[in-house]
Amino acid sequence: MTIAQQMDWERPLVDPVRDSELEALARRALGLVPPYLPYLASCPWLARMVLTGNHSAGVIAHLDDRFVELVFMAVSQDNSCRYCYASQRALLRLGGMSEERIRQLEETSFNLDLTPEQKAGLEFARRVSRSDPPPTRADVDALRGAGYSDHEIKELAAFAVTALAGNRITTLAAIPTRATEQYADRLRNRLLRPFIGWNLRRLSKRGFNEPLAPEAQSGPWAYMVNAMAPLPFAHFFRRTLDDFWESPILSRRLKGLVAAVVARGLGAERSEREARRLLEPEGLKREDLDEILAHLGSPVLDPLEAAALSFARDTIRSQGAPLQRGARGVRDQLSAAQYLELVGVAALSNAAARLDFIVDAD
Amino acid sequence: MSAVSAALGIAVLAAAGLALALWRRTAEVARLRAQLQSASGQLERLQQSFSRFAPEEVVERVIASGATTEGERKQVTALFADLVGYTALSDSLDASLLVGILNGYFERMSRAITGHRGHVSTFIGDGILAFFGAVGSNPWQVDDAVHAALAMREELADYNRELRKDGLPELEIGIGLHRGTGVAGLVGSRDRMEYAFVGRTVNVAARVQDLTRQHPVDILLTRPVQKELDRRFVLRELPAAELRGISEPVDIFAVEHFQATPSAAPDSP
Repeated sequence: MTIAQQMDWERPLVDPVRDSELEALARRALGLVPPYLPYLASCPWLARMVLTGNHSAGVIAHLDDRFVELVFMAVSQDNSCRYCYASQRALLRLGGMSEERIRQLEETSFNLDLTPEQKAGLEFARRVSRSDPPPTRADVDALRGAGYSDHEIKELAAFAVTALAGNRITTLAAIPTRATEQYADRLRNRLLRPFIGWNLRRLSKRGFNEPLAPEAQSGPWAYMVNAMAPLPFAHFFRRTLDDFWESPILSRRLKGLVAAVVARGLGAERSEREARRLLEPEGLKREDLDEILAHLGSPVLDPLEAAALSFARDTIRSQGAPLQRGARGVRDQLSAAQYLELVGVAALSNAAARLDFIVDAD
Repeated sequence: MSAVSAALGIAVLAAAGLALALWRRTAEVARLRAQLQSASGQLERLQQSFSRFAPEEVVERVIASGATTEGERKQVTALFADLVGYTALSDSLDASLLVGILNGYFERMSRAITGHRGHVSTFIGDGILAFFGAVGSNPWQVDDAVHAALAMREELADYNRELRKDGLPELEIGIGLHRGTGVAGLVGSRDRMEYAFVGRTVNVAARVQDLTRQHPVDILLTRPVQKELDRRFVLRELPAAELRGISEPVDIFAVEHFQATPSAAPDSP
């Protein structure tokens, strides 16, 4: 039994739907339609975020690809995300890594053959993902001392939170894992493995530094996006944050409240200030917002908002099957598109809040 | 011809030998892997077992870096619960019956506490010491703690219905809550350690719990808890109390219930 198979996992929280436009995007980006796509298709911006936030889709410019894959597996293991873990495992197999080698990596908590510098990087990524407590300037300085450039440190932190966001999304959709866990071992894929691996490498893109256009320097969490520029992650984050804020599926008030609760739970003061700023035009009195954030409840909240805030809180620390079981209550009150957008908002809020420290570390 | 046959024979034997060696090596690797998997499974089960004695995060930290005695200063909410009239109960019941009743009680109270993100630190006789915000940071620890106390009240009412049905004596509890700073960490000797929270906060919570007998109420909390508490909890202020070892009288409040929609004239102070 692999590590992934030991992680508890619930039945799906959303039904799969097909979307030909998203499938075409997936084929262009990855060369295949990943099994998760139909489960996220009801909320197109969320599906696009997962497709394009993939490290092989050009969000990484400075870190080594193989190292980044290990970071993804380590963070996914840390967050008990059976789906993400299994999919990365399948990609490693398809990319030519033997089952034995993967098991060796698992048995050494992914530290096998890593240099001291890489071990420090892996530990830092775990620390960013856990954020309890969040990394400090001293942690960043230690990484600098280990030989990391500022761009590499930011990229590592950004990739850790992207992985965490992906973990939360696939966990909260409870995407079935069986097909993914068996994908690399299917007879057809075993026979075609060299070709599939070659195709994955061919389509895999490295990102590159590029300044943000003036119009991309404002918008939700602009301070964070600007701090990440000129990394390719900044462009991905800007697009995704704009998509999430502009999406009409849920109200801005609900999205802002979710972001504020997650920021409060993580002690991320900058993110909380940003969420409060975004909520200003949404008709909430300051004292009501104070009460909501202090007690996760208020008579001014409607029942859906109250349930969504409790859900948002759970996404901060809960993982795996307990998180999935806790989500069923709010899922029952929403359509698939609304639920998925709520999941996306919570995942992005977790990512943004966990990156707060990087702005101060500059 | 015979030389060719001999060479062929030697080649076949060599190939067979090689195949045998390869097979043995593969079998050895498989055996070692099975052992490793079994050890990994045992380790996982051990980790799960340890989680009953200390919070999961602490267990993970111990596994990663060993049992260090580094403490962390934290602001936590302490909950102390005790059975009222336990001594009389323990004198009047058969030992195995008493243990059964106590285990059912601890099970339900622990469920109420962990269900509201609390951590049961220790069982002291019939008492329960729990913390909110001691392990991970928790800005909502005060509300969680009082919700947990109300959940304990409900669980106990439910348990008492079962006990009554079985003709057994019903239980009564007192709960004290206090908020303050202290040091959290692994405490103990080299042979025996536990995850604990050390500080005056625990003593105050325990002594406030004692006051539930005087008033008589089942849940009491102090001013530092009340100040941070959601106003939808309905409280009743009681006269300030002198506590042993505390120089100033301590303001105390009885917890009535939680009201999702506040009434027009709130009862809360």
